[in-house]
Amino acid sequence: MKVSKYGRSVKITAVILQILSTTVCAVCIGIVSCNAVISIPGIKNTIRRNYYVNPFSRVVSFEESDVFNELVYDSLGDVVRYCVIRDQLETDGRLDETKEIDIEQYARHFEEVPVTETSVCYRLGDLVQWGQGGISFAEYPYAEVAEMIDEAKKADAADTDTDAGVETPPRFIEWAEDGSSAVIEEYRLYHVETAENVSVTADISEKAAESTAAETVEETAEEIYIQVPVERYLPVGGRSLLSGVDTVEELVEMTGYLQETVQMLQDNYSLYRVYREYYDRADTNFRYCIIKENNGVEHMYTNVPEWTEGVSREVINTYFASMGRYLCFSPADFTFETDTIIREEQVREIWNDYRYAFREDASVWIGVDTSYGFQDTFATVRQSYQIMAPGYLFVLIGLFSGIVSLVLFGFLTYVSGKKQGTEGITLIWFDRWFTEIAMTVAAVVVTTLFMVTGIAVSEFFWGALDRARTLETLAVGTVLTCSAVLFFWCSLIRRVRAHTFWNNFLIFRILLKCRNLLMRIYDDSRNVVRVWVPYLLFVGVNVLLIGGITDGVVPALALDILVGIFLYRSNHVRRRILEGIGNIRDGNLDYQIDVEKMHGDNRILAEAVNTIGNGIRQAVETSVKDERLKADLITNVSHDIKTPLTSIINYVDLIKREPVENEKIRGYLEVLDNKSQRLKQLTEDLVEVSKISSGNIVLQCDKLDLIELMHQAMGEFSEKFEERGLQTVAAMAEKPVLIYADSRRIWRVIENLFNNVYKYALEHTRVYVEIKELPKEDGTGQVRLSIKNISEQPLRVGVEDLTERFIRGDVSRSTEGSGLGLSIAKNLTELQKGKFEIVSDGDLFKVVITFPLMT
Amino acid sequence: MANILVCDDDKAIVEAIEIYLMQEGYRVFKAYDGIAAMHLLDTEEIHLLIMDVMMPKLDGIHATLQIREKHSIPIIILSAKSEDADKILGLNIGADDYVTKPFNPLELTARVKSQLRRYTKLGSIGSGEEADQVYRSGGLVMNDVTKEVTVDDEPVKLTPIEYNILLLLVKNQGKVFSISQIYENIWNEEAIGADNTVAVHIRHIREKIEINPKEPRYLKVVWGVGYKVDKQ
Repeated sequence: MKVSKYGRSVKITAVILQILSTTVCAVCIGIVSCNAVISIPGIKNTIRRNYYVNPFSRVVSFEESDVFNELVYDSLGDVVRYCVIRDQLETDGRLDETKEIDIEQYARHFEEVPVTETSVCYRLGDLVQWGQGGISFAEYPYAEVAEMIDEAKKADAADTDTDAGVETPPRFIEWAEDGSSAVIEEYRLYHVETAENVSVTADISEKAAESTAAETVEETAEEIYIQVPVERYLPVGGRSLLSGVDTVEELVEMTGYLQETVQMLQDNYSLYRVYREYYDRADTNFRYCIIKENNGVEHMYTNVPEWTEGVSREVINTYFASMGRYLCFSPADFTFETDTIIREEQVREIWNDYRYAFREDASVWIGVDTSYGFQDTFATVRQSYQIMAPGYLFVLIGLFSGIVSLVLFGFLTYVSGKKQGTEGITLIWFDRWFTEIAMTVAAVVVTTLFMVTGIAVSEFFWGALDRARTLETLAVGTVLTCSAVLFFWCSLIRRVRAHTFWNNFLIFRILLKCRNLLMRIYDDSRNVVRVWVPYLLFVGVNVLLIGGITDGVVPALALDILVGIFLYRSNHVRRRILEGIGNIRDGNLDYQIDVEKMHGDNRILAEAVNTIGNGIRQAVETSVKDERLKADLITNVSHDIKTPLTSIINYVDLIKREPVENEKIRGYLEVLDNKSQRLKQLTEDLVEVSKISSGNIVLQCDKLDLIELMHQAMGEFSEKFEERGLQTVAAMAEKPVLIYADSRRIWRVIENLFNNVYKYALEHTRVYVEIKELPKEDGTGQVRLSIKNISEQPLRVGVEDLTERFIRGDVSRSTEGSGLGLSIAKNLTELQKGKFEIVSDGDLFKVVITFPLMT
Repeated sequence: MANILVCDDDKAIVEAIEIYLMQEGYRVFKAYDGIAAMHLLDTEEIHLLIMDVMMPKLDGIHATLQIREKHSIPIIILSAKSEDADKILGLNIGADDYVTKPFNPLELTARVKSQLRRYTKLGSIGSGEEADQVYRSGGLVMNDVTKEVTVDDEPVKLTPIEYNILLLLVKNQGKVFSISQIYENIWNEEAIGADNTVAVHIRHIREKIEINPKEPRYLKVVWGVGYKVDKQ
């Protein structure tokens, strides 16, 4: 894996930039979204009105924007409708509640051909109030209603005869319990419960009520119930509605007109109040003027305060043409002028809706004062628009920061887990959590942040319309959410990179543990079966016998005793096996465990121990035999060498006895003599070495005094040492130091060492011989003999190699000696339970021999 | 002069030995195997036999065993086998001396001389005439009256201290004396820490009385214990 080259600071910067860019992107989206919808307290049906701003529009000027034009168009529609409503409700520019409304004319005023015949008239105020309270109905059978109409007619006639022109009858009538004294109308068929009429009823329920009412009434007159309005208000003239109709069918028709009229007047009255609030005021930037003829009189509706009836059209034209934006529509003289982008067809659409009210001679002007001197709807919308405009800038910024965010996200994904200057994946504490827990935490944190942000943003935006707080919340929420997402995502990436994603699953771990346990049990099934099954059986039998039956105690005890004996025997056998192993360990390789009477695993174990013992014995025997064969071979070879060597030595000696004049030949003879003597020494040493190393040597050990030995040795070598100017310095105790050794062999050791000193020590130096006792508390002390000298030649081989056969410190082998001296000394020392050690420090050559001290 | 039979399968060795012995004035008979040696012993008057061990037809060990049935002449075994076991075997079956190959010619002739002297002396001279002041161990004779020391009738010159040391050991044959004991006996002083003096004297004595000082016949070194002269 490559070594990551991105440092900590780079990564932290990238993280911060990523979060920032994401936040900027989110805020831009927020701004665009906020501004795309300009929501203002509505004028249309009193609900909030939303204008959608195209965020990609490059129009900067408010007056050019779609929003402005939509607003103007909506306002145009509003004032036109306001004008119509005013027409209906006002007399001479004021709300006139005493105005008489003919319900049939009113209900049918949408029709192309106006209804001119008069029917029942109510006063405007009554109708509006009735609408606010709602019309109640009572049900009567058809026939009864017909009677009631007749009675009303008669009563009407009587009233007219008696009280004509005297006073207005009461507008309110007390609602009688049975309705008999009250004026009752039926309105529509309602519910029929007789069996014969089921199909008819079903049919009826699917159809529009009014149109079928009459037919149904005719067909099933006897069974039909008619709904008659409870007359809280009486028509103009104080007569009952029933008296104004001739038949039941006419009553049903009138009831329909009454209901429609009441409903429409109620709606229009509400609108009237709202419109008056918005369009009948002077402090607005929106101006309008509508001139229409009503009942042969020209009326002007305007919110230009200084104008009164009769202002000339030129004045009006001039006024509106001077406004920032205006629209003039006068279909009568085919005038349509505007500097907005509203088209004539659109205005026509509005016009056609109120064709019943506007004749072709009506004219309308609207205008907007683009200096926005008043704080009204236009000004509010304009402010909102200008925050936004030009919208495409935010779109661009958002897009750019979105791309930056994505790129940085990719970069962070790439570098996550890679620590600068290291290979492999570096994990943090969170990455070591169990995967499920980490994922749950991640899901909960991210979802919570996301949801809270989302809810808060929409609450602020749609609920409180607080743009600033919406954006603030959005920014904070995005920073938090983005940080969380980034953190968890990078952790996920690191887990996948480090291959711990699956391994860290808690379930995975548990399954793995379970599997291992099962595998172990399975692998060990033999043991499990052999130990646990009998044990459980034993325990089970015990429990059953003792717990189940009182008489079972005796058999249970018997069983326990048997098991105890079995365990004892098993343990006894194991002790015998251990004994056998101990014997073999101590070198008694001939020991055999008696496997008779052993069973099962113990027998297998005992046989294995026997086999191992045999194997080792055979190996040792083979090895000893091999060593002996080798020693024999060397001995035989040396015998064969010695015979010719004898002749060489003898004849060299014989020649030396002859008078040889030639100096050269005498020199050659010396060489021959030396080399033949050396060859002799070599063969002897060789035989000795092979005998020692093959263990083919019998020691005759006895107590001896090391001090005495050293004096003897120094006596033996005194002249040889003098010859080379070597001075021995002895540091020895006066009293004897006794060791247990073979006197001739130990002499051989010392002789070899002194010969070594004689041959290799630097001339005219001192040789130090030291004997030191190292007693111990328990009497098993040691004695250490050390011989130190200065080498003449630097040692060229390691200290360890010096005691190897045929190794000499000078390598060249030019000097005499077989190279076996130290090897023999070492082997003989060790054979006599001593330790032989060579220390070399520069030219200081030191041999240390340690023997167990005898007491 | 004495007749010596040399028996070895290596003719070169036999001839070399012949030269050395003839130089000493002995008459030499040669045999190259055991059978021939036996035959010569029967036909000639032989005073000493030098015999190899590893020989064709009849080896030295078996030949020695058979010869000992009829003859009591000194037998010196000359063998390439140098192990202790071989030496012990040879001496046990009746050989009088054991010399390993390759041998030192001087040592061999010295041993031959020694064996011959003992053989002729032991056979002819009675033991009664010896005075009280004469001590002997094998071929080593010390006359404490004349202060003369002879090894195989050859006089040896010793210094007074050497003489005293050797006399002490010869008088107490078989007993091992440590350096301190010798010092105290000879110098009549308490040994204040032994030193090399005695050991050096001993070596000098050995060099004078022994044919091969490294393998002494009389004054033996018991390493780490002391010195002694074996009873012979």
